[in-house]
Amino acid sequence: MTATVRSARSHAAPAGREHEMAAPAARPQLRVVEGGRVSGGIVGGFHKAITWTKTRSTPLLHVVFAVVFLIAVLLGSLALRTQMVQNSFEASQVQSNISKLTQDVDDDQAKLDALEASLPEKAQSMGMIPQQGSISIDLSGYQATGGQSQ
Amino acid sequence: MITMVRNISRWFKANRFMGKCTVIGVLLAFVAVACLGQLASVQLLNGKSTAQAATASRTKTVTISAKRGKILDTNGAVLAQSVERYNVVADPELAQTFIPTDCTEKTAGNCQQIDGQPVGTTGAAAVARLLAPILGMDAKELGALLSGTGQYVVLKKEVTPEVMRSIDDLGLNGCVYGELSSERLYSNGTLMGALLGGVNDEGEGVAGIEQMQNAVLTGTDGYKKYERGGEGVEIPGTVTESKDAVDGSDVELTIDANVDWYVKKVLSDAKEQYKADWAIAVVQDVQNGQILALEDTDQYEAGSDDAKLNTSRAVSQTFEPGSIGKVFSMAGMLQSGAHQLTDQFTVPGTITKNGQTFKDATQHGDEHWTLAGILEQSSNVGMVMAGENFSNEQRYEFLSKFGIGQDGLGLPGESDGVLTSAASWDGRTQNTVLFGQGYATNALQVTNAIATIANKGVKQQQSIIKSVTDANGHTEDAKTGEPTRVIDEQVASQMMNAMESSAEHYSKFAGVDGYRVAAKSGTAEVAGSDGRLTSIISDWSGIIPADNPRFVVTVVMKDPQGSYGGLTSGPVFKQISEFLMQKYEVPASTPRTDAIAVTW
Repeated sequence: MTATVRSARSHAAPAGREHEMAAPAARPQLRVVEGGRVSGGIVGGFHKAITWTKTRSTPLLHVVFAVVFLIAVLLGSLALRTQMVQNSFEASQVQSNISKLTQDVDDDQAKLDALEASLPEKAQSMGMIPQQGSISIDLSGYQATGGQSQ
Repeated sequence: MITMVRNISRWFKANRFMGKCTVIGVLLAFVAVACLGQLASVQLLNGKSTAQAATASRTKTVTISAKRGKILDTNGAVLAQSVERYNVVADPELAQTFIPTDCTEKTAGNCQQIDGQPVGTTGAAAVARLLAPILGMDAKELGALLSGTGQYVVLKKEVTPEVMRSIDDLGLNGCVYGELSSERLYSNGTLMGALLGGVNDEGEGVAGIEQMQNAVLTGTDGYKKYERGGEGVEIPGTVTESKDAVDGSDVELTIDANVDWYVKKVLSDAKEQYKADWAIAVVQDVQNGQILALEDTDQYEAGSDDAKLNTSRAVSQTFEPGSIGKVFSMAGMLQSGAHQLTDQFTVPGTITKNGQTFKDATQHGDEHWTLAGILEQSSNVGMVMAGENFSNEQRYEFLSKFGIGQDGLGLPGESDGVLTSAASWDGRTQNTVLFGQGYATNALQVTNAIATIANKGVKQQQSIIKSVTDANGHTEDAKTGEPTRVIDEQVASQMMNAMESSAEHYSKFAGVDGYRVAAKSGTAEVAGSDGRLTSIISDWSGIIPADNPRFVVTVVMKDPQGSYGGLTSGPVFKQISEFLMQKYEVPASTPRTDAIAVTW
C-alpha cells in the first residue's frame, strides 16, 4: 500500500489584517513528494536512520563529526604512541652512544693523565735536568745611567 | 512431545545434509563458547594476575654502579681514577653449538672471517679463533676454556670498552658477552705507590689512602627497573622505577706530584750513590702543616699487590732520630728556663753519669762551647751536662709536646714510634733521650717537630688530605686539628738561631746558595739485621729559608756510605731545597747578622 503524503508549506509570514485585505496571498504551488512511508527492508531501515538523524536532537552532522573525531583520536593516539616508542628507541640509542663516548673520553683522559705524569721522566730521559741553584741579582745601590732606552 | 520428536526426526531424514551441518555448527559453537569462556577467564577473571606475572617475568632490576672518586694532587693532577672495563664471559655450551657464517655479498655485515678467510671450523674452536686476536690470548687456551661444561666462564678480566665492542661486532650469537666492571688506574706508577695503596676486586680500598679515604671515595649505587626484550635488552619506555647512582667524592691531597717526583728521583739517586739500604724524605709546608712530598726509595707500583701489602716507609719506618733529638731537648731547656743559649760550658770528650759513660762522635779535649755551640758541634757530652737542671719529666713532656710517639696522619699501617714514660727510663736512657736515642720516631714526626720551631713555636696538625669534592661539585676543606703552642716565639727564634749555626757547620755539603738554612743532622746506631747495633741511621731535618721559613725538609737514610747525616742526607736536603726554592720562586734570604756565639 502506498500512501502519498502531501504537504504544503507557506513561506509567508503571518500577515496582519490590513495586508490580507489589501492583496490576497498567492497560493503556494503544491507538489508531490515521493517517499514518505517507504517499503520495509534494508533500504527502509537506512531511510529511517536518515530520518532519525534529521531530527533536531541528533542531526547527521553531529554523528559524523563524532565518528570522525573518535577515529581521529584513535589514529592520533596510535600515531603518538608509535612516535613515542620510536623516540624512546632513539633516546635509548643516543643514551647508549653517550655511554660509549663517555667510556672513550674517560679512557683517553686516563691515558692523557698517565702521559702528563710521565713528562718529568721523559724529560729526564731526554737529558733535561731541573735548574740547579738560584740566580739572584742584587740591585741595591744600583743607579740607572742617564742614557735613554732605544 | 512425541509428535515433535517425530517431526524433527522426519525433518532430519528429509534434510540429511542440513542435519550434519547443524550438528557440526553446534559443536563449533560449543568450542567457540569454551574459547570465549577461557578468554574471559584469562582476560577478565585472572587478567590482572596474569598480566602481573607476565610483566614480572620480563622486568629486571639492574644495579647502576657508582664510580669511585678520584685521588688528585694539590694541583688537580690525577693520581688515581676509575674507568669502566668489562669482564669477558662465555657460555661454553652455547659456544660449542656455534656455526660461523661465511662472508658473502648476502651475509656481509653478519658473518665471521679471520683475515679475509673463512673461520674453517665450528663450535668452541671457531669462537676461540675469532676471539684470540682481539683478546690477545692464545687460541688453544681460549678453546680449552670454551670446551668446558656449564654456561659461565670468565675468559678475561678488565678489557677495555673498545675491545668489548670488537667482540660484539663479531656476532657470536650471545655465546660471549661482557659484564661491566671497573679498573683503578694510577697515573704515576711507583710514585707514592704504597702511600696511595690500592683497591680489591670489589673496588674497596684496602691499603694506603685508598683505604683511609674509602668511605669518601666510594659512591652510592643506583638501580633501574625496566622490562627486557627477548635478548635481554631494555624495552624503551618501560622503566618503572630508577634511582641514579651517586659517584664517590674526589679527594685532593696536599701532595704536589711534581715535588714528589723530584724528591723520589733525588732519593733514588742518593740511595745508589751512598749505597744506602733505603731513604725517606718528607717535605712540609711550615705555615699550614701540609705535606708536599712523602717519598721513599721503595719501588711499589700503586695498586699492585706490593703496594697493598706494604705501608709507605715514610710513615711506617721508625728509628732513633739521633742528634736531631737535641733540638727538642734544648728547646725544652730554654722553655723551662733551665738554660739560655749563651750559657757557657766546658765540654770534655767524655762524661760519666749514673755509672754510664757518654762520649761525643769525635774525640776532643775540653772545649769552651755555649749551649748554642753544643748544638752546633752536636755534642752528646754537652747535652748531658746541660741536662742537669732539666728533669726526666720535663724531658718526656717536651718530647711528647713536639709530637714524638704521638698520632700522625692516621694512614693505615702508620707507626707512631715509641716513647716510654720517664718513670720507665733506666740510668742510661734518661740521658740518651737528650740526644735523640732511647726512643723511636718516624720521619713525619721529626718533620713536624722541626716545623714547630720554624712556625714560631706553634705545632700545626699535619695533613695530607687537602679537600674533598662531592659528585655535585661541592668542595669541603679537610678538617685539621687545632694548632698548639709548644714553646714561646722567642724560644723558637733562639732555636732557629742555634740551628742556623748548626747548618752552617755543614754549609759546604748542605748549604743552598742564596738562602739561609736552619737545620740539624743526626746519626744513630740502630739494630741491624743481626739484632746488634750494627746499622746506622743518618738523617737531616732543615728549615728553609731560615729568615722566613717556608718549608721543612727531612731526609733519612739507612746505612749510607759516609755515615754522618750531614754528609749523606744533608746533600739530599740541599738538592730538594734548591728545587723547592726554584719551583715556588722563594725570594732570596737577607744576610745573617744576629748569630749567637757558639764558643766562649
